[in-house]
Amino acid sequence: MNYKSNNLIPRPSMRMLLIFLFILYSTFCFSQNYKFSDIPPELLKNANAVARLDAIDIDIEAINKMKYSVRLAITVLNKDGDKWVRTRAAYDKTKKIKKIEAHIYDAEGNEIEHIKRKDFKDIAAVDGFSLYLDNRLLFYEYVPLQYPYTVEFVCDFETSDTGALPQWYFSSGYNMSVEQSNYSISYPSPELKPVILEKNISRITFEKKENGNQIVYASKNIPALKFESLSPPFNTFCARLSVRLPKFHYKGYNAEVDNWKDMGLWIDKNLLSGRTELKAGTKEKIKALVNGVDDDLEKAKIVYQYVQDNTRYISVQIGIGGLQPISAIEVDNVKYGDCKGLSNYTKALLEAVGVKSHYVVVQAGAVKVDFDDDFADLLQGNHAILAIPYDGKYYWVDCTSQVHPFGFIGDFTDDRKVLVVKPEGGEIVRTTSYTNEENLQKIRSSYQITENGSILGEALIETKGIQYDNRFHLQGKSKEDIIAHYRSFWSNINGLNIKEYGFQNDRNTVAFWERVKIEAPNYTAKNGNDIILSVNAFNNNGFVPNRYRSRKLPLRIQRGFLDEDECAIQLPVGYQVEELPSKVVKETKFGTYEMALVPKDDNSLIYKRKLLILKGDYSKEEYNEYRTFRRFVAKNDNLKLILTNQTND
Amino acid sequence: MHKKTFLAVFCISFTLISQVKPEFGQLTPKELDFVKYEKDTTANAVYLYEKGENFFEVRNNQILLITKYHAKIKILTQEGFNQSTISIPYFHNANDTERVGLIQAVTHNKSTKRFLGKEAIFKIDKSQNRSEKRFTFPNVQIGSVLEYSYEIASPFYYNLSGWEFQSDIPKVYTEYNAKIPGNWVYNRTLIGTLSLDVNEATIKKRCFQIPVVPDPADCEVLKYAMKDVPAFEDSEDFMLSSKNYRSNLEFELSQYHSYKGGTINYTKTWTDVDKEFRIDQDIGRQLKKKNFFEKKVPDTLFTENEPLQRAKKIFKFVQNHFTWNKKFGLWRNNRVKKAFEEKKGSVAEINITLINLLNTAGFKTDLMLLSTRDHGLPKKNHPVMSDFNYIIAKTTIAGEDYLLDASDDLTPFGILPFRCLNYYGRVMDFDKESYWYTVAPTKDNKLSIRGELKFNLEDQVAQGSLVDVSTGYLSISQKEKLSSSDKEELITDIEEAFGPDFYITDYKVNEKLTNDFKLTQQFQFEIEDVVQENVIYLDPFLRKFMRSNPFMAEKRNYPIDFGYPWEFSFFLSISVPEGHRVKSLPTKIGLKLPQDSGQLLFNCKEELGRVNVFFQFKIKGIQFSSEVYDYVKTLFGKAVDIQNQSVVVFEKT
Repeated sequence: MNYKSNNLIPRPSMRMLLIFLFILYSTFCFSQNYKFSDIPPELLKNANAVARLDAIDIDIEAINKMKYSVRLAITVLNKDGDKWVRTRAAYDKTKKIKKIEAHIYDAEGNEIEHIKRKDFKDIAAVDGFSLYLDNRLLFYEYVPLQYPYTVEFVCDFETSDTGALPQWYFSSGYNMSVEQSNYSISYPSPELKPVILEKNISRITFEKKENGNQIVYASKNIPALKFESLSPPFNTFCARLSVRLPKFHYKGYNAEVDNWKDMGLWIDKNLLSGRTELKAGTKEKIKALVNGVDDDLEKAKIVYQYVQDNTRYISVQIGIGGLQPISAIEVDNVKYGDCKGLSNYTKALLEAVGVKSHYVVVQAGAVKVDFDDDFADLLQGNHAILAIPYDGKYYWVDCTSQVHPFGFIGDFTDDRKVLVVKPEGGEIVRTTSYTNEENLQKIRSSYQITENGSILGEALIETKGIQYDNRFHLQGKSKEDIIAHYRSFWSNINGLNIKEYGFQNDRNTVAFWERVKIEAPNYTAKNGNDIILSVNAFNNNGFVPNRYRSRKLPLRIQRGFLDEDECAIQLPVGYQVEELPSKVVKETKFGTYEMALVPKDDNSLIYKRKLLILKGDYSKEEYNEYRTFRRFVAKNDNLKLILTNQTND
Repeated sequence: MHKKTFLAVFCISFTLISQVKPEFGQLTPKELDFVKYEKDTTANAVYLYEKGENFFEVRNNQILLITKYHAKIKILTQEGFNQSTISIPYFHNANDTERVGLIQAVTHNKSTKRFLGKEAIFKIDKSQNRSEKRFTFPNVQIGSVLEYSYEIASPFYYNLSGWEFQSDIPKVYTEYNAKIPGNWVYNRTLIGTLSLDVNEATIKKRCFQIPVVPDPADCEVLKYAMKDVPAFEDSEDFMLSSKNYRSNLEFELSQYHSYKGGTINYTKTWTDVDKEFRIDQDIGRQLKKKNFFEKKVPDTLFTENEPLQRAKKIFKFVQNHFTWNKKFGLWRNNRVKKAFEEKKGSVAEINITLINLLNTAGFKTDLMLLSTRDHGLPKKNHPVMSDFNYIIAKTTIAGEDYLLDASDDLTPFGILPFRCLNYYGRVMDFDKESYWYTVAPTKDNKLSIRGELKFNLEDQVAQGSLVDVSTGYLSISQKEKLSSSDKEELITDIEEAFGPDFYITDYKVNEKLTNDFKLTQQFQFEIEDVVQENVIYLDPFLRKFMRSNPFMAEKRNYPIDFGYPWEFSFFLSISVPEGHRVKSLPTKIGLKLPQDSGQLLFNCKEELGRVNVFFQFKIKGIQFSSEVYDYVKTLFGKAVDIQNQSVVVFEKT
């Protein structure tokens, strides 16, 4: 069981819309009927599960006291819908579970099981990468008997943290529809009135009401969406609410935050200040390392190298650990830390040698997610890096990596809005982007075909940008892993043998070179006396996007790239190509493909190829055009030649 | 004079003893100077020293099983850093718990030592009964030696489980010691191909005393050690459990002579086991619920006259009645009545129900103990109950034996799920005595695709039809896919398996030619963009059985095991397009494995205006030793080459 943080988004619980009419009923009058046959047919389309009721009811009693109850009734239609059932809740020192239970209903809506608090297991939460988390989990594993079935989950929480209010997704993901989604929040006084940011809310029909100190949203019948590849992330287009309090309490701290400037100030003052102290010995040591270096950027590179050589990433999350770094002294002692601890430690070392740097909070991951310019809350971000101001720009460094070059952040934190925490306040800044031609792969290669149909070849591969990021790790890998990499990289070459390889990594210019010698017996096929040759041995891109009979979501190409190839091909003695294909050039809005095959001399050819894919957002109608383009590329990359034996004629 | 010699000898043996008992936190000069492990230069880390010890001790009036552990690990590369996080699992139940104590850890770097702080040791509850202590070493660098030790005090005597000589990194020296009073009897087995460098067993008189018993018990003192143990290689594709090969000393509690008098037999001989099984609350007694089931199931279940049909009907009934909760549940808390009422249960509960019903219907049916493929082969020299983790039914109908498992919905009568194909099991015949019985997989596992294709030059497409027939295990996996996806998804999936230019214009399952063992699917298809200007190149393998060779490694560490024999065959008849002739065809190929245990045939022929492509890939053996690996590798390589490279070429006349 892997407890993923995105499941922390609390859902469920319901407060009725017409609160005045039903005031006499308590919130527990929900002996609702979850009959399968009551589900509107349009909600069954594309759905593995239907949220019959997905409701949350938040009651802020004071700046440091909040209760909320969650109620989620899910009718699961098939095996793939099981994942939408929720029968677990996380808690910690400042967040208590007051009530937890679940009811299971069959298709007719008859209750078949009642799961009480004592049936839930109480275990440590795990996130898959931390050594230790002090969060715990109550959970129950339900094994479905038959489909459909319904699980109604009820959970009441009480917490002193009002700094991380539950966000609200009107529908939570692909292949699930929502019959009723309710969000309600009440507050004790106008100064604690929540700020609500509505996102993509026009995608759904909803009602919003404000009654006294209560704000209520309700939406009905949201159909299920199907996942489609190369689409923007779900949370960028789904209807949801971001909610925060202008004044809040979090893990023992009070705060008043209206914008990112305030947030930065608060983080700096409460979570970071005093954390960069170091022992005198460590300071001396690091000063000695930069002795004689004047330039701040050069100093920073030396410090970063020191951190990379001496520390490793270990995550331990205790108390406010989710937000506050462990002190630099502690990291210095044990030589490990999480992203916050290592960033803060590096910041401290930089400080010691007189180089300014800023702590940065970012939402990391291969999918780019921006911080919201105009909505400052604590829920955004899952990673910390450093920004080093120099010569009018920021250099970004990720201190959890022991291998990345200075200033190169790769696809983990590139090209997105992040929070830079400065002593004078927070600032939203976009990190370095790597796009299109910057993500370069150049292959210069040659191969010769022997008479028995094998090939012997050599390739020199140069990579930059994100392609560098995908490749430079090779140098630290074992021989087995390296060979496995080439077997999958050149999966088009059957029976590939790697004869030799070598790498060169230029951390200054951020470029990586691989030199590989290969041999592939039977690479070509024999048809009688002819040899059939797949010309493009070293960069055969067969990727074709999935086919959708009717595409619903737009197309997103996140980064783009450029591949350039040139290959000298030596034919076997006595063989010739009957007819050389003509040059191919295709230009589209998605990029360019070029391919040419020219004779070099009697017995050899030069193959040239270029593929440029451009970053961009395109409509769903354009998806098919893109697919056609990639089919064209795949087809041409798969070009076959017939080599005929002239001596036999 | 004599006295002197005695003293000298005594001294020598004393120093010898003190040498093998290192102090915690001290490295020997050899360990300090260790830079490279010559025997395996690819190792990321290596155990310089590892020692474990088991003995019994009375603490607070309770006899406890004590485990002591001490290890020193040298870190050789950055990838070896993952050795620096340590988890020490321990077990607890409602009444009692194991206690982990005396955790010590120190990182040795060149001239410094850094001890682990108490605050850096975490306790993690993994489940109701399992927790672990976890920590990571401070200041880890390439070249560090990580040393740690701990102790577990356990009230659960069966947790003396043995010693793992082999792990994912090599070991320079690893040693296991045990001091076991005569009251406890453990069966032991050495698994794997490596042999012991030290193998000592002595008796120590009067070594274990408990307060209330006047006479101390004698102990067996054991010492086993291995030097230069290679790293255990990762699992490979197509193999039985790696547990069958990893060097490991296994202990299983067999008998306990209680100090309060009386003997508890855990396992000893199969005769004992048979006896216990008959009366066991969770197994034997669960098999005697005839009355209950007679009342609960429809009478019509037993009225079918034809015996095989009657048995099949009962099997189907059980299969449909239960939802399997994904647990095997062999040893604990089997309650078939409750499971039956709730309509869900473990494999054990489902199959015990099946056994009950078949016996009720007049078929002699026994419970068969099995170990799944992942769980390793059971030892045959003596009964080791923890070797088993699964229950199936063995029944005899009209003189014919059948092995049955009703847990999966799609398993046909008489076929076991793939996880059960682990060679043999033990049939618990309660009327006579238990015996070993072979698990023989069905031989009929075929996937055959036959089709025809013709070109439509005007529209630049090719069109045709295919019939896809699968049988045995190959049909089960396809049926699982069918039952879990809707038609549109299914067609999209199939199209993707064929390639981007392939469109299915019609698809159906031929119900007439489909049964429990067999699935027949029929397609009409169209391929776009296949017609080029002067020459037409056609890849005849519209569908590939295998895109890459699963056997690429230079050498194979463990035997290949496919579980069952199988066969892929492909036949396509292509009409020569109008105005064209065949320019060239792929060369004919035939290959065989030694002893005819596998073969590959490929032939393209032009006949009467058609090109007929025939391909057959057959594996008749189930297991192949590492010695014949190269042949298997070549055969698969060739099979993949043929599918990926073959081109039929037509040119204009």
